[in-house]
Amino acid sequence: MQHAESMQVKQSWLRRWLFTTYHKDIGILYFVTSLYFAFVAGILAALMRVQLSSPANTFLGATEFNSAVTAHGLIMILWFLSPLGVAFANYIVPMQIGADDLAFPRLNALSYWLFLISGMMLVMSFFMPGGGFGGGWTTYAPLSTSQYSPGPGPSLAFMGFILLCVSITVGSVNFITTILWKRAPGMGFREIPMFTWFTFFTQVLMLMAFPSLLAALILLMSDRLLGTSFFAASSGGALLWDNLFWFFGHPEVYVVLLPAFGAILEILPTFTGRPLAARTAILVAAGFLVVPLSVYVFAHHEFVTGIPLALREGFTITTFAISVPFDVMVLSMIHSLTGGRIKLKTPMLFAIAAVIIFIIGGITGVFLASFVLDINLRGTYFVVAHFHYVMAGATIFGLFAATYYWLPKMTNHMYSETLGKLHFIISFISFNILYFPMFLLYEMPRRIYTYQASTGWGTLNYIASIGGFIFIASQVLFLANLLIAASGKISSTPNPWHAITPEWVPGVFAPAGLLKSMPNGNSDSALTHHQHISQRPLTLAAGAAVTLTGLALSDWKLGLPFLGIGNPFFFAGLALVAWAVIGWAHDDLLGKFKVPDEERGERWPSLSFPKMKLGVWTFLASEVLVFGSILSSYLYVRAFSETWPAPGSIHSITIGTVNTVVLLSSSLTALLALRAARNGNRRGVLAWIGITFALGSTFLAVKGFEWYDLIYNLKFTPQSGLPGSTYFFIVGLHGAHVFAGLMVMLYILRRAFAGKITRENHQVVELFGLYWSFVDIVWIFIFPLFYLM
Amino acid sequence: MSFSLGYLVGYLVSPTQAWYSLWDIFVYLGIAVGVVVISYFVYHVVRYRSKEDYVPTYENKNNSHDLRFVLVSTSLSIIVLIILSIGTLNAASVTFNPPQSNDTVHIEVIGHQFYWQFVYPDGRSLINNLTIPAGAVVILNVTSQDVFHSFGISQLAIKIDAIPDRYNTVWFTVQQPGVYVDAIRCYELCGAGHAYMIANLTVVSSAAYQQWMAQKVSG
Amino acid sequence: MGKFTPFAVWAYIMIATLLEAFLSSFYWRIYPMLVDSVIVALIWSQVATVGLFYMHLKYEEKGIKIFAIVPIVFLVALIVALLGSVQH
Repeated sequence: MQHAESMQVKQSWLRRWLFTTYHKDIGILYFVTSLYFAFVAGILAALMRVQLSSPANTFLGATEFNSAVTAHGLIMILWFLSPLGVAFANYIVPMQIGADDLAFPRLNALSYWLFLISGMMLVMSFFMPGGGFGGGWTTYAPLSTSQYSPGPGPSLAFMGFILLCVSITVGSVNFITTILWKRAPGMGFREIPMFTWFTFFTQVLMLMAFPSLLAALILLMSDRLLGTSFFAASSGGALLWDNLFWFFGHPEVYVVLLPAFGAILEILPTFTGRPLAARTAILVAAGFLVVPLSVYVFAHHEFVTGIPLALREGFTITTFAISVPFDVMVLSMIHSLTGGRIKLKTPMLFAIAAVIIFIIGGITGVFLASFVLDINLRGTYFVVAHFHYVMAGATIFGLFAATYYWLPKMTNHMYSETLGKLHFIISFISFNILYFPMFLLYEMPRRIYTYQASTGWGTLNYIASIGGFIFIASQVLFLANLLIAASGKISSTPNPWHAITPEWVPGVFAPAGLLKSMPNGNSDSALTHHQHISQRPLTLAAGAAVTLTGLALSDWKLGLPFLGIGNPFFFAGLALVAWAVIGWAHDDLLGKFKVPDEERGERWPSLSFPKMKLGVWTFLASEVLVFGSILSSYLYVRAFSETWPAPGSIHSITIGTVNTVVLLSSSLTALLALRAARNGNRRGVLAWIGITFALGSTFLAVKGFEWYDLIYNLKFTPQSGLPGSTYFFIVGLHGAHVFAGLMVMLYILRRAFAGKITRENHQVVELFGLYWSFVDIVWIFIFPLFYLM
Repeated sequence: MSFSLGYLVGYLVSPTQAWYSLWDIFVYLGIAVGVVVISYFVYHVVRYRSKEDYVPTYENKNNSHDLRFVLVSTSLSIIVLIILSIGTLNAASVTFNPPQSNDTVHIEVIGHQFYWQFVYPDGRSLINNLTIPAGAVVILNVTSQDVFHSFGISQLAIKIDAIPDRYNTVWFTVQQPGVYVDAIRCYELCGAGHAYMIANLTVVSSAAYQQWMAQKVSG
Repeated sequence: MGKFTPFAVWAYIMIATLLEAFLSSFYWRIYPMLVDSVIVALIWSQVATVGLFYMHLKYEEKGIKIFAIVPIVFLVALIVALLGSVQH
């Protein structure tokens, strides 16, 4: 009897953690996983510091070092710092706004599994034959192309990177919808706590920035696997990568920093006993200045690439300008101490240290903002010091502060204050010993695996390495403290810091001294959330990973044709994806995934605006950036290409026009289907969706015929230089979107057949129409750009 | 758009001088701002420290002071930024404007995995050794044969990316003859040999340079 | 939206498409820059029409228009940098 019971308990533990969609569980998963990746990247850092501690060292070879520095950068930024912020966002944000969970719990789980699995792909890539990628986290082209970094290792790494982009985009749609739509009554924009606000800004930046990276990565993989020539050295593509990457890369550093700032802005009032100074100014600075400006400064990473002087001057001015909102924020933080009574507990110590470190990092950032001063600092350890101060310093210390602050909430017990203070002192001092010397090493190039004794760089490197070992070692204290809190050895009260934000005081929140009451939408019972577990997110993530791994493995150049036999991974992955997606849709059809009824709280833009519609619009915003980046790349390619085939010489204008008429007409029929749905006309819905499906399929069929003709008769292929690369890639990507639309239409038809499309409930038809119209808009750009101009 | 305040800060003759002067401005101002702000911060932490635990009431008596303080201090920082902008534009007017001169030397620099090739106007090529005459204006046209490199002479504050299919120009001048060993390095990760893309800068007298150029290149 | 609005929009898009194709087929070789400019104008007018009517933006709450505007604001930065990087 007992044996059977304990077996049952074990099974539901596994089912819970594999299939959970509950935000607190997923928050814990993100937390633990991020720390694991930090450990991996930290070991790499230790290895690098050993190698660099003395001149002409032979501890690591050049390739090993290059792989280590690449992995270290990628993992730390993308699989540790950012996800750790997401961990807190997951756990805390719903509690702060009085929501029971995120807007789309299954998508939340999907984001997590994609994050974990993509990280595993990245780590695995270094164990592939031929090694992993060793070109830095910035993956510059043409070094990242097959010509200079051949093999399945780099390809697998980039595929993992692509999956992470998907994870983050899905997550940002989720968080943005949640924060706009799932706030409890009384939680207006003025009442939203700082951490949630900063999470919102972060997620908006993620939504806008990651599509450009995704575009760059799929262009790169297209080069590697399909032989296109976007980044090939002979076609001026190096700067294409540079721009696409840094358009993402600069907002990314604020993505990493802002959650930490959000946490600091919660901690400061709590441990000073007085409200934040200039709270509105901080929000305006972060939301209306930093967020939009973050993409108008990005070319400061390209000051010595030879872009025109006017651009350099412009980007210097914008980069100087973006330091102003940060001044506002830091000065407000400092002034928030005035008249307070400061309790120097561990969270507060880390928060204070984070601000001090940020001041140093920020000032040195202004150094790099000058397009003249950057000349002798670019590519040197000065830059390394700067970004470690803001990222490894301000961000990590801010996230340490967040961890200690919210640990009592997450574990219901206390950590050891003495151990925490010890962790703080040792970390803070060793951090500065590690990184400050690097400012003085501004003549030393970055990413060199060794240097000669004659350079005189040995002493400073040695000092830095000592600091590094102590810093890494001191994290053991952190780990120990986490275990102490998790083990429950030290008891705690529900609100040990006497904080007043909603996650601490469920049912009551107090912005700026006003007390309002809010229903307790936050059920702590994990049991109720067992009613909506789902295995689809894990399956879908696994399927996507296997598919992309299969594609990466095809880079093995064993003479096997690219989608060919001998690639069971690719097909197995696709089958798994299909099973997961169909299963997911089927679950929805049968109403299997039950989420408690949404209570009508504060919603933007209005109380009647549906949640799914908000989600779809948010998603479409990111799609604008994906296609926008790719089409901008096309314009760039046209601009620097001296010759280009004239319109009509390769692509038949007639066929293109016919196809355009077909596709654009299908937008009308989709709208007529929506009208039918609104009138409760089931037959009408079936008919118009059927016609839309037929038109969409005709479009793809004609496209297929066109492609067959181009490839076999005209010998015009993706490998036919840039005209071929751009055409097949962009039209292909659009075609994939059309195909996805066809699949959605099958789902709608299935629903309509089952009688589930009614006058009251036909949202899926409207949302499909939005997506379909967007796909048409993209074609309205593509058709003239490729066929007519 | 660049203008020169050279007459204010003393006439700058080379990008090297321009850079180091600008660096000084940034370092002094940066340290000053950093010390002031951090001290002010730490002072506040110490001054308002509370030894006992208490239950906070979250009242604020200083509302109007808060915003005023922030606006005033932000204005000060904008003034600092304006100074830095003027300094930058001033330095730029030198860095990107090689003076007209009779003995300007044009050399093509080609980055390879993993060495630097210097091609002279008569077609001769040196590997990992840039030889120039002292006192002359040297204009380098930099490109790459394969991947993204970055050509830098840190002691002289010269740097420009070496990008395939692209020519980027940079100028400098050195007064003092001598061999600057390992002065030239690659500043963009370019593969396994990145750490070894090191070249010498050999500065010879004008006469010696003329002599060297006059010798016929064999083969 | 009026009963016939979707059809009017459809008609406009069809005409614009045919006009683009016509101009390109017969006049691009003679006046490439002019034809390109007209086509670009036609593209944007079609995009606006589809966005405002088929995607219902004209009739939605004001705030939703942000989803169309913000990405463009971001994209402009990329286009400026990319086109500025071209070297002949």
